[in-house]
Amino acid sequence: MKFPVFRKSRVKLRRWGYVYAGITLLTGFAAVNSGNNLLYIILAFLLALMALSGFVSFLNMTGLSILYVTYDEIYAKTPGYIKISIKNSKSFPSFLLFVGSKPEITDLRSPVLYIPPKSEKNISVKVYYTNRGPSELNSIYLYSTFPFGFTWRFKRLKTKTSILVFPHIVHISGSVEEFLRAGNGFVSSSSREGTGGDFLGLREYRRGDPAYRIYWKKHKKEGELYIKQFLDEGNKKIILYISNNAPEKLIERTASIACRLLEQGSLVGLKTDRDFIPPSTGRLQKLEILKTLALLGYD
Amino acid sequence: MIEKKLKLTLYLTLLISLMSLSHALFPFGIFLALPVILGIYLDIKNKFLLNGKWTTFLAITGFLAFALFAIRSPFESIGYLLIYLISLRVLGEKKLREYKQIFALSFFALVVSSIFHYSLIFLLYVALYILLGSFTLLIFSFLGDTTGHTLDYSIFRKLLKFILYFDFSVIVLSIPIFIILPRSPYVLFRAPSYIHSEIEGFDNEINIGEISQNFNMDRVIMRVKPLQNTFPKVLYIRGNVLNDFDGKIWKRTHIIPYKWQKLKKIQFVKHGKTSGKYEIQLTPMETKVLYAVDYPYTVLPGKLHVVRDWGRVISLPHGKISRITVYKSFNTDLYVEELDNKKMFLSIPHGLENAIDSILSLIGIPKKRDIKLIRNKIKNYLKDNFRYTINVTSSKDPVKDFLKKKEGYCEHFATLAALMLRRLGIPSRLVVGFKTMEWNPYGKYYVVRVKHAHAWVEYFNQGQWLRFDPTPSQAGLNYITRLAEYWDYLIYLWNTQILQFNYLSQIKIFLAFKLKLQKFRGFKIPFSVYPIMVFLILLAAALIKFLNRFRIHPATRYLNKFEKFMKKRGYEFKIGETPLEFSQRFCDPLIQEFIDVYYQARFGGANIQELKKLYLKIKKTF
Repeated sequence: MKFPVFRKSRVKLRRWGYVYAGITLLTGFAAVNSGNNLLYIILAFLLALMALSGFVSFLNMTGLSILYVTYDEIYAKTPGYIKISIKNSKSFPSFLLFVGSKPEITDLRSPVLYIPPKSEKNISVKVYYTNRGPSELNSIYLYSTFPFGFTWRFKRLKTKTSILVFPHIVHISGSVEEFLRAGNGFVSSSSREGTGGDFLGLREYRRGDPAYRIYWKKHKKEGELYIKQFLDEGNKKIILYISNNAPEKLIERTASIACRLLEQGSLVGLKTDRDFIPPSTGRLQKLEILKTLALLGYD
Repeated sequence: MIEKKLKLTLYLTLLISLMSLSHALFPFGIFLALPVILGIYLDIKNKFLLNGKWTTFLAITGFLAFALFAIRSPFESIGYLLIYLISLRVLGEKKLREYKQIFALSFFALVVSSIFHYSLIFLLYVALYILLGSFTLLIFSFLGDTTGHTLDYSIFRKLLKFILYFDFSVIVLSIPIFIILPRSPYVLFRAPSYIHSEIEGFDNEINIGEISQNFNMDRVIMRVKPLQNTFPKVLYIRGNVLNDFDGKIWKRTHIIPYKWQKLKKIQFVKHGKTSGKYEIQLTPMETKVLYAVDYPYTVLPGKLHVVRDWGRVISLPHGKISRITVYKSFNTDLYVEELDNKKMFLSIPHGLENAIDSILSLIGIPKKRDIKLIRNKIKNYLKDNFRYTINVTSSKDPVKDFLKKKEGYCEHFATLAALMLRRLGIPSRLVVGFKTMEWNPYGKYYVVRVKHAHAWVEYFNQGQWLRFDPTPSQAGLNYITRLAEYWDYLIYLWNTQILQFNYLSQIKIFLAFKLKLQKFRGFKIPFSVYPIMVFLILLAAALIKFLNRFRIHPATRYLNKFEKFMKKRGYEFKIGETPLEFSQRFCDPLIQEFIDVYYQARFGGANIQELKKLYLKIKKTF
């Protein structure tokens, strides 16, 4: 299926539109050359319908604006989704809207069928980035074939959002060691086996951490909240090191290993030329590592 | 899998266009359209009768058959072919593409039906088609563009609501478009002979005593609108004039060869001889003469290529009229003619002389031949001794039967009167046409129906042919309801304003508009009015601003309702207490949800319907 690409024009005639225009022209030809007023009536209806469908298509797009854009985890070279809240501030509804991040229609599977008047609707938009790092999202594009599918009409909605694209995650089929060996990688890890209660260190409190792990004595002294970290039995403490000038492939491999190890429940830290993330577990640690890797090499 | 909603709207659209076409091509069209019903039934059951190969084979065979038929009547054959193709498509296997084809075919069926239609009912078909067709298009668009989505009922309902507003706007917008669309006096092709008509005009021969009972007696033949202020109560409309009577058949033997002439309007305006002007709107019929109000001088427009034939009959070269024909007729009584062949109007069939003489002696004709007295005597004699009825059996000798049975209808009365006048040496002839008294007060015109067909006598006196109607007037009144009168007026408007709308009508409208515009330009507002206008504008602005104060957000309205309701239940808002504080004090999840939604609706733009639902829920719960 060929999808239309918009460059300058805001409206693109579709096959249905051409067929309709052709039928209207034929009816017009027959009416003028026969003087049959009943044909003129049909022709008048066809033209009125054409004109009004254009007007309705225009109205369908007006009064729409973006309230906010949010996203969760977006990886390079992997399709991801951003969440957009669209507000319809006009007094009548909008129907059948497709949303995209580029001025071309790539997906017909997730339309917004209906936005009631004076209300908002949250939708997911598929995005695809080839490179990691911060990416500016200045516009969101709306497309619609409403009402009769004669035309594609598109509209650009302005937004100012910066999206941080995480490095591409490579699938690791075997163990991490095998993966490293296969890629001639090198890892220096420090592991210490112990019982589940072994004290590992302190780190700053993050939202979502259990309250029983707060180190209250330190809080009393310094006023800040700290969390006591313990090494679980069987878990490893791994610190991944990567240089700021590392090639893209290595960054992808590092991110993949970090994700895999964190999934296994290991304590993973990251050391770069500038930053150090102490080893820890959980989703927040994963996001921190990925964020650092995504920004590696960016000032 | 095609949704049932799409099938429903598509088949309704199809049925409308098929009704329009098969109505025009009755009865064979109906017969051809019957398989469509079967096809729809099978499709609802998700079955089909014909596979792709059979459909193609039958389509090609049918096409060839209808192509042969097209040599004789091309337009009808196109109509039949369309119905046939639609039937095949509906009976065959279908996917979204085939459904789209059915939709396209339904539109062509509507277009082709316009060739055959002329009645107001066509407008109803078109309006219904636009309503259903646009909705079908909308659903096609929705289902075609949303891959893998189904149309749930709530969206279907919203689309239906949208299309109702949309179609209303389409109908309104199509009116000015219809008016301004370019029209030309020169057209490439017309389809003149495709109007089915049950009515035939009066022929050059009339068989006395043989009246056709097959016609719908109430069917309208024409509508006659007087264009002057004075007009008669009873209107006689001339059809044909017959001179020779052989005892059974009245014939028109005096046929002058047609000399077609193009009559121009200016020719008649200059003469000023007309005593009456009428606009005649003729419904489709097969006729050799144009009807005109007695006594015709000429008709307009001249483009009809008509000629005032002998007996002041306006003949047509081709003997046929299609569609609605509207023309103006001018009649006059200021004329003097010379009677060329007096014998022709005095002949009496053999064997009737004695019978006529005996009646004349019975009546007692005065020695001084006063024509008015003779007329009255004949009329009174017929009125007193004969009964009017249309239930007359056909006979070989209708005049003798009439004299024997003493009953008959207008042709019998007029024939006997003409023969009596002829026996007295007064040249006379039979005129056939219509006599009407049916007046439409809405459109201010006479309605002429089949039942108004009439025959009367014309006699020659002092250089003029004068009308003499010996048939006694009928008792009883045909009551026509106001609604029927209004409906007839709508048909009249449809015929004159829509079917007859052409480039001249366009020019008239544009000129009238230009005139109004000029008047408007010439209109100047006096200076003294300006301060009042400024004051009124300021007052209106102030009033709008004042009224805006009372405009409250719909969410606030529900909060106020909620506040009142809670007060009734004994839970009052404290002074200065915010809704959030109230909900926290109350600690009820439903109330907290209501207040949350209120804030979202008031400041976040959320849907007000949810707030309404919650308010109603609170009302039920507490």
